[in-house]
Amino acid sequence: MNKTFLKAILWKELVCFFRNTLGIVSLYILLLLGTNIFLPSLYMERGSITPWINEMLLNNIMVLAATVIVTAGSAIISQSMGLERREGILKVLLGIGLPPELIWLGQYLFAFCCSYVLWLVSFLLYFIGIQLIYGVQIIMTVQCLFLSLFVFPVIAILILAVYAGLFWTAKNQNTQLLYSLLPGIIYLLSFWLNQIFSEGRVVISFWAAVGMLAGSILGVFLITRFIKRVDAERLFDS
Amino acid sequence: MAETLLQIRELKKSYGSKTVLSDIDFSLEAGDILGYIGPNGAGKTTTMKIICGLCKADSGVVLTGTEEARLRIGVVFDHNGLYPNLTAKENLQFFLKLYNTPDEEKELKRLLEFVGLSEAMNQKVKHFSKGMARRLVLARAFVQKPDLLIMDEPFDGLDVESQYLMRNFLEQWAKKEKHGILFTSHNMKEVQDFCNRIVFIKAGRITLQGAVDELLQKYFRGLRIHLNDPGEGRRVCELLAGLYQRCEQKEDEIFLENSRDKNEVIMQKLMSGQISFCEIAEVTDSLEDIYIREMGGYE
Repeated sequence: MNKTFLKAILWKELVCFFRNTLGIVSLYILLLLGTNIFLPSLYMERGSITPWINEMLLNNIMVLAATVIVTAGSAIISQSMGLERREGILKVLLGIGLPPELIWLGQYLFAFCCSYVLWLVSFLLYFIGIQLIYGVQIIMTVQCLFLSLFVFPVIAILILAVYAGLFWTAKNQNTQLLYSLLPGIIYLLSFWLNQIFSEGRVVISFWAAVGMLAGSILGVFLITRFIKRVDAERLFDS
Repeated sequence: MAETLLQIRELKKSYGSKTVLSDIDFSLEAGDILGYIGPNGAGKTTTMKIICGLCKADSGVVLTGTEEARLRIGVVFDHNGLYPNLTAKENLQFFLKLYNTPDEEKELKRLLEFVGLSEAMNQKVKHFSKGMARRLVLARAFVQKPDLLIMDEPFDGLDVESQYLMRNFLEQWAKKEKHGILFTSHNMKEVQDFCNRIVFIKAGRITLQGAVDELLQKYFRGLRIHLNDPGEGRRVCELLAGLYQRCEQKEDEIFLENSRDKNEVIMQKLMSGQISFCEIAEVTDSLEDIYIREMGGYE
């Protein structure tokens, strides 16, 4: 029964995403991409790429990794959960006996998977954008690939889960608005993260990354259990 | 013996120092359409939320079905709870998928036809009128083939024809197929026509409950006699002296305020006195009159 519920929720999230959220999320990502593609014009000229510039471009990829997933994911979560509360749909779903933790998990899983796909698209667009505008090809490193395609997304699993948990338990729209400041904080933190990784102060080994993944998944599991215990009455203003 | 679909025993709920529900006790049997009636703030919505599991009672028992077999409950709340940017079809499809309904397309078609929304199935719900949205909500309530329906003002916004069709269908569904409906409304005429049992709740307490027919008989007021010859009015009052508290004539109608047990004697006297009349009808308080009396008058 749980698998059936989850499948249905994921289907619904996909349809709602294309109807409600795709526009605004695309706008966020385009803004982020645009900033990261045009910012290098401050320090590079067309057709010219040095090792330092290449490193800066790789750093931008890592900043993008952190921010696209968290920004897109949190936008999808806010839109999805906010809509269901505003329109009274959540009341209906809980009223017919759907477990709240399953509703939450379905929305969260979709938000993360969708934002990861959007990140992959952004990743490709970034390369294409740099090539088109500056006429240079970025020389990718294994470390950058590993960090941007695995490590930062793994960290984002937990950040998004915490955000989704906070948003779910927010008693009213004002509190939800407060929590929606979190992606902005993550954006600022991403520069710091990027700094410490790129300067080699912190080196993530493969097994450390696997450990982080396990930790993030455990975090999601614990948050799911917490959601199960939240009083349904808390979710409605009246 | 009718199967009990819903049992509520000694339900209590408070928010801080404010008691919202106090010793709520009632049950709903298969075939019942129970009107749960009260003024705003009486505790109706809180009771429904507790039944649906949206809210926890402080104490008391809510049983739907048996320990072995929980009932399938369909809900129709005052808010529609529809996805505005999804079409009617997609809104229903989501719920059909939730229940892993076999023959999804066939069931979808059946539900949309039942509520008269087949032609609007690909229209987004945000473009629906209030009545269309309400009909879709009714269709959604039947997706999982419920045993018990919890309905909060379900006919609000429906046109007269739609109300009539929906009510007819729901009455057949409840009475013939032995399901149950717990129903709230502010329209007492609708409650009187639709429900077979009612529960009046005021300030968190039940003030009156019972079968609608029994209540109307209990609040029997008298007889109305429609005379063929208005001139016989005085003779009627003299003939029936001692059998009524009050006899009042208005044109060709006589109203006798009497107790119900006197009806048969009155009929016999009218026949033996050869009084010509075309109609004789019982006069009772309407459910609205009873409700207003129970609630202590208009607010």
